[in-house]
Order: sequence, then C-alpha cells, then structure tokens
Amino acid sequence: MKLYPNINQSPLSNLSVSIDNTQSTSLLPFFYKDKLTLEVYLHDGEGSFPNAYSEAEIKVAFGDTANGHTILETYQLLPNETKATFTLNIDTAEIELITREKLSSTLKFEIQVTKGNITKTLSQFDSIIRNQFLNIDAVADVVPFAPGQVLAILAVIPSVPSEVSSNTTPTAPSNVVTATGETVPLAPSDVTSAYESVPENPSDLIAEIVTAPLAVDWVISQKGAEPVTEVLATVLTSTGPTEVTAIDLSTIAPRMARFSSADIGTIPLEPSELAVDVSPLKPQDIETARSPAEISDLIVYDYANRPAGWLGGQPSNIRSIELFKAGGEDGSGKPTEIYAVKSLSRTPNEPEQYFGKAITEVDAEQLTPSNPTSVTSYYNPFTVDQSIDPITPFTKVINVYDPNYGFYEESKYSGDALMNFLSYGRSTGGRYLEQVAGNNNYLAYANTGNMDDDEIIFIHASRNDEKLYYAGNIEGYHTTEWQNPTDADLRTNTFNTDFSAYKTFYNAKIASGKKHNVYILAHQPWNDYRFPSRDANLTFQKHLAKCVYHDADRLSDYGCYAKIIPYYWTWAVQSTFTNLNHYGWRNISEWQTSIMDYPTNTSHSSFALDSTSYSPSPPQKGYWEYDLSNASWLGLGIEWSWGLNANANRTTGSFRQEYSSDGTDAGYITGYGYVMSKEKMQVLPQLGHPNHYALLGIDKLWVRYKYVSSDPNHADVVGPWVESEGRMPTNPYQLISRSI
Amino acid sequence: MNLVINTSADPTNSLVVGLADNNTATLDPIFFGDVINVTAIFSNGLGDYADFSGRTNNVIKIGLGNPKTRSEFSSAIMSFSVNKYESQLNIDTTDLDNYLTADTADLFLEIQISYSNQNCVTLCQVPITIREQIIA
Repeated sequence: MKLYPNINQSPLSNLSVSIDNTQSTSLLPFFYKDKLTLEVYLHDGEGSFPNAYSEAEIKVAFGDTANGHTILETYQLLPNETKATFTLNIDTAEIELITREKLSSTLKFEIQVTKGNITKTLSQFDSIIRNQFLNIDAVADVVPFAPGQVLAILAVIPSVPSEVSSNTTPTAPSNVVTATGETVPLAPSDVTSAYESVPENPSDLIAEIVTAPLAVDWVISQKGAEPVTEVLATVLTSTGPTEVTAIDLSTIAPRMARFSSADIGTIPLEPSELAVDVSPLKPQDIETARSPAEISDLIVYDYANRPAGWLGGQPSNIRSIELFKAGGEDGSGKPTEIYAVKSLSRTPNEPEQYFGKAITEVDAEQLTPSNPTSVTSYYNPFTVDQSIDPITPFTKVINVYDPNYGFYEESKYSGDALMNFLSYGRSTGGRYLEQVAGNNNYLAYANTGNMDDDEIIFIHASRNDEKLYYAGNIEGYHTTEWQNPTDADLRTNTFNTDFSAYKTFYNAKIASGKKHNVYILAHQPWNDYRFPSRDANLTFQKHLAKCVYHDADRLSDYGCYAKIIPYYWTWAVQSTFTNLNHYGWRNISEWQTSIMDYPTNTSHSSFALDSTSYSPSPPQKGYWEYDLSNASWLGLGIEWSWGLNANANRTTGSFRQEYSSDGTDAGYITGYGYVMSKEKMQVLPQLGHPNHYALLGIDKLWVRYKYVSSDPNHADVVGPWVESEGRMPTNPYQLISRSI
Repeated sequence: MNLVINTSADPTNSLVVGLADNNTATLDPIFFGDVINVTAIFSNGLGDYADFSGRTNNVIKIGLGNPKTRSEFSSAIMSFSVNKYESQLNIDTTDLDNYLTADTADLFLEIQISYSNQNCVTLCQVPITIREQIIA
C-alpha cells in the first residue's frame, strides 16, 4: 500500500492519489491479521519531496485517542530518500478485540514526522479495520503435504538421553519455537498430555497445538504470549535414538492441528549425531534426504530477493534454485542450517532434480532466508547432477572464484571460504583450489562426485585485467598436472599451450572409449568493459562457458546444434580497418561469413543479424546457426572487402581458420582470437532434446593477419601483421544451453 | 465462477468486470451442495496483471466464511495457470450446512495472498449469497 500525504494540506484530508496527482483520496481498509508493506511518500503538492523533511523520522500508527497506539512503526529516512517503508502487522491484541464479532471497526491512523526538535502530525484519518476469516499467516501454511515429506530436520536435540530406552517409547517434545523465533525448552508442565499409545512406527507421532487442543497425544501449551509454532521431538526406539523428527507447526494451517504420520517425515541419523553435545549436521545428513519426496518447505529467491527467475530469459531457460531450510539451532545458539536445493523450471521432458548442501558454522545473518544471496553463494555446484543445466551452478562458481570482481558480497569470500566451499564432497571426487601467487584470483578444478572419475571440470583462471587463461588436463586431483600459470603466462595468454595439453588428455580419453564429460568454465576478465553497471543480473550468465564432451557414439544419439553469436563482431573488424588506416565503415550485413563442414567443405552461410542497420553503438550482433550433428570439422573465418572510398578501388581479402576435432590442424589465429573446434560446440546432449543448442558468443575476435595485395601488379606487397583491437564492453563470451 | 480482482482497489470493492475494466462486478449466488470451479484474474488496476501474478513463491487462498465470527466455511488454494488462478471451491461442507439455516444466507468471499516474506494481504472481501438447494 502506498500513501501520498501532501504536507501542505489539512492533516485530516491530505492523502493524494500520487505525488503528481493531488486529487484527494481516502485510506483503504486494513484487515485484521494481514501483514503488509506500507510505503509513505511525503510530497509538497507540486510533485516534489519536501526537502525540509529530508532525513526525517517518520512514524505511522494505529490507535485511538483514549488508549494510544496499538501499532507504531518508525522509519528513518536516509539522505536523498523520499520514501518511508513500514511493515504493518495488523495483528495486535487490541485489534483482535475491537474486531471481534464485528465485520469492521475503526481506528485512527496517524502519520507523524520528526525532524530535529520539530514533531508534526502530518496526517490523521479514520481507518477501517475489517475482520476476516481466511487468516493465512504464512506461505507455508498452505503448502500441501505429501506422504513422506520432511517438514523440518531437527539438527540439534539438546537433551537426548544418554541411555537408550529398552522400549519403543517416544518422548515428549523437548522444545518449542515461538512465533518470534525463540526456542524455548518445554517444561513438564507444558506437556499436558503424554503420549498415550506407543505406535509401532516411531514416525506415527501425533502432535497437537494449543490452538486446537484435543485430548490425544501431545498437547503443547502456549509459551507466554506467543503461540507455539514449532515442536521438536525425539523418538527413542529399542535400538537407540535413531530417528529424529522436528515438526514445524508454522507449516501447518491452523485447522490442521493434527498431524498424521503422513504429515511427518523422519530422517534417520546416526546415533553418534544425537550426542548430547550435538555438533552441526554434516553434509552427508542432507545427502540422505535428497529425494523429491523429502523436500517440502521450498523457498525461492534470486539475488535480488525476488522470486525465481534470476537468471532471466525465458522460463524454459531458467535454472533457478530453491532453498530448503531444514535446519534448527543448536544448543549454543549458533545456527546450524541445512539447505536442500532444488532446480526449477526444468524443461518438460526433464525430471526435477534435487541436490543438497549442508551449510554449517556460518554467520547466522548470512543464512537467513531474508539474505538469500549469501546462501546461494554457498551453493555447491559440484553436487549437481550432470543432466542439470550447468549454467546456474557454474554461475555460482564464477561468482565465488572471482573475488575481485564477484558480484556480491565480495568481501565474504576469502580464500578460506573458497576452500571450504570446495571441500564439500572431497571424498567423492576431489577438488583443488589454488590461489595464484599473491593474487586474489583462483584456479580451481573439480572432479565432481556425481561424475565419472574421468569427468573433469576445468575452471578458468582470471587475473584482474589480464587475459584469459585456460587451465586443463587434470585427471582428478590424484594425478594433478595442474599447470600453474606464471605471471608471464597470464599476461601473454597461454591458451594454446594449455589447451593442447588438455587435448592430448582428451584424445586419450576418447581412445579409451569411456564416456566422459569435460566442463570448461571460462571467466572473462576484462572487467572494465564487461560490467558497465556491475549489476550481476545483467551479465551473470554471459561469461560462462560449458563444453560437454562425449563419445562419438553418444553424440550420434542426439542432434547437436550450435549457434554462434559473435557479439561485437563488427567492432573487432572495424578496429582492423582503423589500424589499416582505411576508412569506409561498412554495414555488417555485407560481410560474408561461413562455417565450413569438413570434409565436404560445404559452406553454410546463414549469417543473420539482429539488425541490418549499422551503428557503432551499440554494436551489431549476429549469429550463425548450424547443425553440427555430423560435423567433424569446423572452420571459422571471415571474408571482407573494403575500398579506399565508397565506390572505387575496392579490394578484398579473406582469412579463414579451420579446425578439426582430432587436433591435427587445430591452429589458432596466431595465438589470438577465440576459435572453436567442433567438440567445443557440442551441446548438452544429455538433456535429451534435439532442440537444445548452445550459444557461443564471441566477445572479441582477435584477428591477426597479413594483407597481400590482390593486385597482380603488386603481388609482392605484403603488409604487416594486423591485429584487431576490439574489446568487448560487455558480454564477452558465452556458451549457454537453452531450449527452443 | 470467474473473478477479476483489482489489487489496487479497496478489497471490499475490488471485484471488477475485467482486466481492463474497473467497473465493479457483483457475485451471483452460490448453491449449497455444489462444487464449483473458480477462476481468478488479478489486475493491477491499470489494465495489466498484478505484479505477483504467476510468481512461484506466493500462495493465494480463496474462501467462504463469516468475517464477523472469523469463521471459515470452505476454502481452497488457487493454482496458477496462464495468467489466472484456479481452484475448486467446495460448497458442500458441514460448516456451510450448519450456517445455512434458511433458504438463503449471507456470506463473504475472501481472497488472500501470502508472500514468502510472511506478508499476507487480503485482496478481496465481498458479500455473496448462498442458497439452499433442492437437488442434493
């Protein structure tokens, strides 16, 4: 709800329609039990915020003149801030009382401003408070359950008896969590009814909350003024305290006071984890809960705390994350959180995937759902099933691995944090993190636990403003041949050398006949050009690359498409012209491009442009789309023509680089540029849908060539090496799987 | 039952004719014993869909009840489907049966949305008449 009080009108009737529209309006009714955000915009009636109230303290309140306020919220305006934001919880005892047995009641609503020694009541209106009946207190209230769902996982049981009961005896709930979030131990007197019948299955617990007490099983008293929202219970069996159940009553609609066994899931834990001195849950605990049926209370966030979809794009492209908070608090008050992660927005043919990550010993503030950024940043990509689109997790990796240019919370990711991040699942795969000497850039690779042993992740090392560096040729960390780049390497771009090493390795793997995937993560380090706004959402997925390598036989099962987007292609070429001291900038649509299909050398030129009208800013974009299903060889080239003026003396030149997958002619444009061999374009065939393809954006095409005159009279004229100098202001390089 | 709710309007008067038509609409009576399909579109009052429409982390609940006594007689969670929310509303509940002591009774139809940030807002609360029926 937004209010626009005009400070120059009577406080009794000064609500405007908007800052720009001073027509008077009235206050909408409020509803008992609602909780809403109220935004107050002061204005002077002339479309402006009154500067006299800059940095003022603004209060809003409900109440009456006889009894004072029943709701009072305060907001301190920051410099240059013109909006005061309040959260109003229309749920006080007074409001409950005045609306009881009524359709509505009336209170005064007041807005007051304090600036220095001056306090002024800006507005005072009658406000209708209506009664209601739906009373949805939280999203979770209405999340439907399914049998076997885990409502919560109890991480810590403060008082598990050291002795194991000889009988199968459920104990009474030990703690409650009140609506304020406080965990309060239950006194014996709080439990007014013991568990009367011993169920055969310990999970057949039934709990009752005080809002609808029934004479069965457990009845948990209210703790003070706060209703109970959570009951923590332990179950002792004849084999020891092997099962723990936490019941989050906040996830139950008020009338669903009774839980059946179908409502309550249990997570088997090792007895050692139920020690009195409880330690945080270990990653494997959540691993045991990794199935769709065990995920319940899902929370979806993006980096801007918006609903799912933070990767942008079409829904079918989105691989967002749901976080499942499944933790509690341990006895020391240190939060012990567990988040299970579920991928969202999968394509229709794909099953949903779940994977988990335990997060322990982190700052509480980092892990609250209200601060999901930090949570998602801890997301471990290496647990991702390979059928899951890698963009999402890899984005996280990049985010973490680039502390200098990380988009969020950069300062939080020290080297230790990164190491911790990578340490998860070390036993299943092995990963490696190395800090380039003295620099906050990291090299890392990982053999994921979910992959075969010979599936490898290469992670690009970035170094401030230096050039790309590709690391590779690592077979697990057991036989690491990590090619530590030297400063000189990083400065001079050792792509060729490293990639060749990788290729040797890869070809060996091909020969072995095994299936294997290789992921390459690349990070574009030209920071100054890349992030004009440093808004992560803008560039998030655009500097990632994934190349999936498969056996030829597997590839044959799927169509394989590549779409190449040479972003800012024109810029690079135009720079070439500039260097040649030529003029006559040409419309990109006139440029001829081709992708060659070896061995037939059939040219498939289907170059298209987003726009045919040339403009140096923004640069033109174009793309090829090419079916690589049967391609074993790929070339990337460019042909051009130019003239000293628009109509005469035109000459042409060309260059073409061609590459094959066997590496025999895998040349590079004299060490510059970005070239693609066929296998790098193979696209997520495991997605199982022929309409998946990859986008590979070329941020910067480094072109180096010599010009030889085509004039037979000057055939001996050989020009100097010419290199384009185009740099990409944004979006340097991308290979994005997507569905069409 | 097709509903269009103007989310920028007074919730007691938010039932409107169409997405781009903010003229007030009224509800036809409902009949006890029926189970009806309900479709709701939420507009922003400016001819477009409300911001929350289609978002995944909110829950919209519709119900019949009596606000005075805070009695909910029937309710359902609405699910999103292409710019609209749908649910089935059971008008055959025991609570409704008990409430309906004459040929007709006055009820309220209420729609609430709850967000993941725990905010919970009543979007619509309008009167509706329930009638007794002959064919059980």
